[in-house]
Amino acid sequence: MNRAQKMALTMVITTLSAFLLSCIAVAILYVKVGMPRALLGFLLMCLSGLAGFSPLIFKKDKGKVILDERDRLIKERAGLGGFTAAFLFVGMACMIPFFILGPDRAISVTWLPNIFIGAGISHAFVYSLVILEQYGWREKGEIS
Amino acid sequence: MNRAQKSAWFGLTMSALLLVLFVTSVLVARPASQLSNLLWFSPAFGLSALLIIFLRKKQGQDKVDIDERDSCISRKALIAAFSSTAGLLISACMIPPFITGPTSSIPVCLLPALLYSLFVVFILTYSVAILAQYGWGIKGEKE
Repeated sequence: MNRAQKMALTMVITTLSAFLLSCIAVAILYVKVGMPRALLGFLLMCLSGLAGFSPLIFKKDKGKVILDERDRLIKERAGLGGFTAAFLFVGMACMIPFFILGPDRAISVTWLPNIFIGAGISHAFVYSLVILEQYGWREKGEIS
Repeated sequence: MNRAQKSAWFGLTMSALLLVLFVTSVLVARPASQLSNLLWFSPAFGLSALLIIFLRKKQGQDKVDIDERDSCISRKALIAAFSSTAGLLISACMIPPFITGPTSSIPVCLLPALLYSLFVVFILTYSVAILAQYGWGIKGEKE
């Protein structure tokens, strides 16, 4: 497994764990305090930011070619996939409140930064998934 | 002028028109909830997408539809479009909470307006990037 695969796998595992934990937190808070406040459980999604430390954990190889044309193409494709997922998320986050609440209602301004954070997480998640899909999920085939 | 340039000119014209419509709607809409009327312009997006596909359709079997340079130009234009849209998204999401404060609220109708402006900026940047890379003139690129 090369460095990009290791970092992508860390991102996928961290994001899925954070999502699972936040769903559990929302369920617990829903029973304890009710619905609007229970959504605060999704703050645990910020734990996926821990994957940001993966470049520090997985050091660059020394004395080797660390990036060739194929790697760059894979990263470009993954970037485009990530951006597409992020903007799909933004589309849903903008239109779902509009259809549920209606155009005449108001929504907290904190919804906007949450849209941005969600878009960032979905970008990083899909970017990592596409990286893993293109390199292959298994350890063999890519030397670290 | 090749097909990519034609569709880019079309996209540029459409997005400029939609941008004018958007700015006019923002200035005219009173109360602000009338901004949701912008959704009526969404068929224009569908129409423009369909026409772009139609213009890009291969017109002859003996012609090369797309080569490596074309795909490279298209990829660079996509990256430019995504980056500019991301810049707009960051500003639109992070500046209002700092100006109005975290306890304030915004009309829900602003969310589709945000989405609308993101689409317009995406099409505009993509078209400009395509035209800037191929060259704006007619000469130099054959169909």
